[in-house]
Amino acid sequence: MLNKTKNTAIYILMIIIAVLQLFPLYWLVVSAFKDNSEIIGGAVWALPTKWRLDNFTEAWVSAKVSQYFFNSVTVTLVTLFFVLLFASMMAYALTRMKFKYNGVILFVLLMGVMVPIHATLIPLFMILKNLGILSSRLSIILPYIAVNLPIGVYMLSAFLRTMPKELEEAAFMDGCGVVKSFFKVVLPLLKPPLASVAIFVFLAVWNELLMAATFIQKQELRTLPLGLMNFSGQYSISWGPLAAAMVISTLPILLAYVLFSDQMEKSFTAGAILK
Amino acid sequence: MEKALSNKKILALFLLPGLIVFLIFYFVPILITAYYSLQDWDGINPMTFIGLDNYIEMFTVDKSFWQAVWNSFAFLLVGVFIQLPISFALAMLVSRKMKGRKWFRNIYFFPVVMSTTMVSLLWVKIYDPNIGMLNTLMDAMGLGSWTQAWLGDTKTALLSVLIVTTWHYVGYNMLILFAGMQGIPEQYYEAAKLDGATGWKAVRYITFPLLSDVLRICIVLNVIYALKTFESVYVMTNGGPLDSTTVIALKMFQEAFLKQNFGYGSALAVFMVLECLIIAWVINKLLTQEKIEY
Repeated sequence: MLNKTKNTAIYILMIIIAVLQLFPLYWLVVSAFKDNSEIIGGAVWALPTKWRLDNFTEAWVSAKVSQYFFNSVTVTLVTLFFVLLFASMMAYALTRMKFKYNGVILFVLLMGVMVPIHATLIPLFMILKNLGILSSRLSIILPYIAVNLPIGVYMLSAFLRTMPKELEEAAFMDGCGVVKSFFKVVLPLLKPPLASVAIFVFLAVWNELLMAATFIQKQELRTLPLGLMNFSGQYSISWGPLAAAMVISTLPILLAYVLFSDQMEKSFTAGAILK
Repeated sequence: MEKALSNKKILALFLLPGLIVFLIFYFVPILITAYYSLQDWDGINPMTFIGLDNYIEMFTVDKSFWQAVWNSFAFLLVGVFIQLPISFALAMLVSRKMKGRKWFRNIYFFPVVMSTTMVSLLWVKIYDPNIGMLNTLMDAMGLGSWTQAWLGDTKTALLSVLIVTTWHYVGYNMLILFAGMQGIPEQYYEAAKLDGATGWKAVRYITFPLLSDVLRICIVLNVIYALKTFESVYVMTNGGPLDSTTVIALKMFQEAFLKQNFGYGSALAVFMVLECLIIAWVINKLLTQEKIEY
């Protein structure tokens, strides 16, 4: 009997916390469908009287969220591809191949896990300027690859060290070279940790603001976080279109969350333990 | 196989592409920052070597620097002493064997995956004195006298930003602690039950000691996150009003890219790195004890 009361109390507590976590998001989503008079005059918890899509068209077309969305997708996909490719090749070389400076390289990469990116910002600005690629997509893609490589190498190396070598040995017996056995045998086996790295990098790049704000000066190249920030400055009075833009920019994350929430938990815990 | 795996050309093929990008766009810039920090430089004209002058100015002249240091410590203290205990409690709650615990875990964690920019812009609107949800809710609850411009007042701005980061990240620590708790074998709790240790006693004598490694990781993570806070402040208040919410990372950004003080900005960046490394090292030293075996 006492246990039952206690359980109910805990349930209620958990629901209250869940409401605290979700209510701001609920407010965001309903605001995206409301017009200005409803937002200012109506109750915050009320559903829209009519589910309007005006805010979404306004955000997508006039406020150029479509363009920011496209920029974010491009930058994220290119970064993701190269981080996964380079990190798995490096992890393979560092765990399987025989050479002297293995430890040195791992130590240098550790700097990339420990030192905050803020410390690289000013020199990077000058390097990108001197290379003549400031304010181009490359100006954020290259640093994004560099920043996300170390954690990828560490996560993949940890996995490779526990992976038996028999399959690779068999591939070598069949006359595969290192390159062929890497792409045909090792990469497919790396799928689970690669998925973790991919989620980690996807979120980091999709959400990044500091470097984008520093290196991207052209309006048409802005990524979503940068675009949203600017958007909020211009539309300081109308919350509806901004809310719609924010809903749009969170949709890919929500989708990833619904599809891969278990994998996401794994990648966050693995990433945290490494840091 | 052994021979093939020590082929230098193939090794270079595997290692160099990533390593070169990493060195040019991450590692070398860290070193250059240290070099810049010893110069007086506007980013355009030739630089002049001024030794430690930037650091001396930082520590003795610049008042907003100390404000920024203090604010970073406020983030640190809230992260470790408020956010972490809440996360611990949440992790305990979602570890209970009950229906729907996965749902609750997912809900508590979801804000973590949203961008800081998004979360910050959302809360700017929540705190907004005119259309904001917070003041409207307070009015509805009869707390109308408490309403105010949360982010526009020096008295409430920092606290308001701190609440947002706590709201945003409690789920992160919860998840890591939850994963740690899953690793504690059930027998320990059963054995403790036989000895009469339940409830808080079980937490005190089993969960805490066996989770000490994970707790240490959480503390270090929180400290580093706190010290490099940038986006939330940049988006919500831009350091204002009157420097009341400024942090080191924001100061570095403003000095370099608004005031063209590249040398001084770099000195701030170096300070940040050392601060992070030293504090993380100290915490690791302080909290590492003999491994506990049962």
